[in-house]
Amino acid sequence: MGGSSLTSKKTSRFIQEHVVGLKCRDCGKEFEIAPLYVCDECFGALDIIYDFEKISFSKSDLKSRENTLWRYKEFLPFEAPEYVSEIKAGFTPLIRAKLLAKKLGLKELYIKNDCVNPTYSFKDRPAALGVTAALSFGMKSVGCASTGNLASATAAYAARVGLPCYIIIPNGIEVSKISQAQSYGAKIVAVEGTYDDANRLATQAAELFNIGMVNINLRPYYVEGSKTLALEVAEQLNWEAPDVFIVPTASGAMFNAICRGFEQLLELGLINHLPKKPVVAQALGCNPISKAFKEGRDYIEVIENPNTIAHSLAIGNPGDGVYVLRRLKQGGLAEDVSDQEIIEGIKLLAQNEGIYAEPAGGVAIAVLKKLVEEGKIQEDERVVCYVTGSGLKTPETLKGKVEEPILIKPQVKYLESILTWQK
Amino acid sequence: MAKVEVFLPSLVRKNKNISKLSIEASNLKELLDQLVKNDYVDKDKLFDEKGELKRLINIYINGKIERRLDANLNEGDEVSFIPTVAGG
Repeated sequence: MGGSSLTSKKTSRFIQEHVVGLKCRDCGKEFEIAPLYVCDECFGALDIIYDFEKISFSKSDLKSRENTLWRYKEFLPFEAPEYVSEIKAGFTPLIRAKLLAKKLGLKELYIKNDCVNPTYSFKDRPAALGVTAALSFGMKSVGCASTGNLASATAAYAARVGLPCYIIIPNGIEVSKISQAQSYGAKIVAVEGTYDDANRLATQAAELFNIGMVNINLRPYYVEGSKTLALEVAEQLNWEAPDVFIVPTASGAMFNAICRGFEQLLELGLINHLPKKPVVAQALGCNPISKAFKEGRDYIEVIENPNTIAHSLAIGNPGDGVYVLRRLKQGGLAEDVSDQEIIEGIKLLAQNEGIYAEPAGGVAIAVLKKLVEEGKIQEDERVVCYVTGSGLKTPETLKGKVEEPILIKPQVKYLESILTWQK
Repeated sequence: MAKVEVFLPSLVRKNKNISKLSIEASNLKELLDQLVKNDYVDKDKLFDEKGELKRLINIYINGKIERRLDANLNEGDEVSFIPTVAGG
């Protein structure tokens, strides 16, 4: 990586010296740092180019840094604006899941618990970067297309920096996700259609109304936030990469970002090898990537009408889908699970490790279970499972799927028959 | 012939100031021919050397992806050109 600087300093605040420009993932064309997201020649995705030779970084530098995603500033395009970083996104716990590992027949399993971010999902990471990008480019408003989690994250960071926020969602996502985003003061537009309809409209809105849509026209900066999910796991594993990592996948942006994170760590000599089995986990009711992988295709067939309880993964036309398939070709797996398996996955995680996840987390656990049972993940492999959002965001998921509370009169005699099982 | 509304993002258009326009065409091919002929879009931007629509750009008719150039257009249809890589 490297080369001459393509950075237009006059247009961008917070941008770091070692950020050189943007590069097309497909044809390699390079661009100045700007609110661009696809190549003007081939429409390929753009990634940030860093010149790592311009920086000196050692593991010990991290000792004095705050426990947030911004501790990895050498891997991020921006210096953290204080009012963005002080909400403290990232550096979430990596938990050794001993009971769940035993249940599944694994020796070493970890849960990356991103439920505990400030807005209760991993989307704090890309939203923090995306909103910073909007500030950097002097944009007057921000927004996103969202299945729910990004709505809240973008709205929260917009509130912190005082920018108006416009969210475009498909009608029918979880009420709690909408009210959370509304609480931060965002304007919510619900589209009668799928996420892909919302996404198409948001793409047009970004251009027609000059809005910083964090996951569209600010996408190269936005995805760098998700990259910290790899950096943190490596640091928390004492600078070793796991053998396997499992990512609940919708657009594929997070999956690609995590892979890129591990690749950059290897490039800087901070880890010795890449994870050998990256795993894409999807819901059976919206599985464009895992279906293409299983059928040996290098292109995506759009799922027109996603139908799954994992609403946050219901993207039928995944923006990064072809890039995920390209990576999987070099090694990796993709699997999908039914709604019933997702619910079992949520319960398995909650009842063995005390972590209450939204359905996307259930997808990751259910895929893990399936791949272990099929012998595709071996007992002695070190596995990290990304659990990306809190179950409190989707309380309706388990309605009717867990035991109802037992109603009694307020006298101790009524407890006897119920609680005696403990004797 | 049907009058359709076309959304042209800056990525594909030649005339940088026009992002929305009305055009009369009976199918997608006719529409694209007119856009090229009238210098609204650069043909090389949309099509590869084999003359096929580039893989990472989608054409939507009323919100549905359409890659068949003989797809019919109806009065009032909305046609958009959107890069694949967005969202999520």
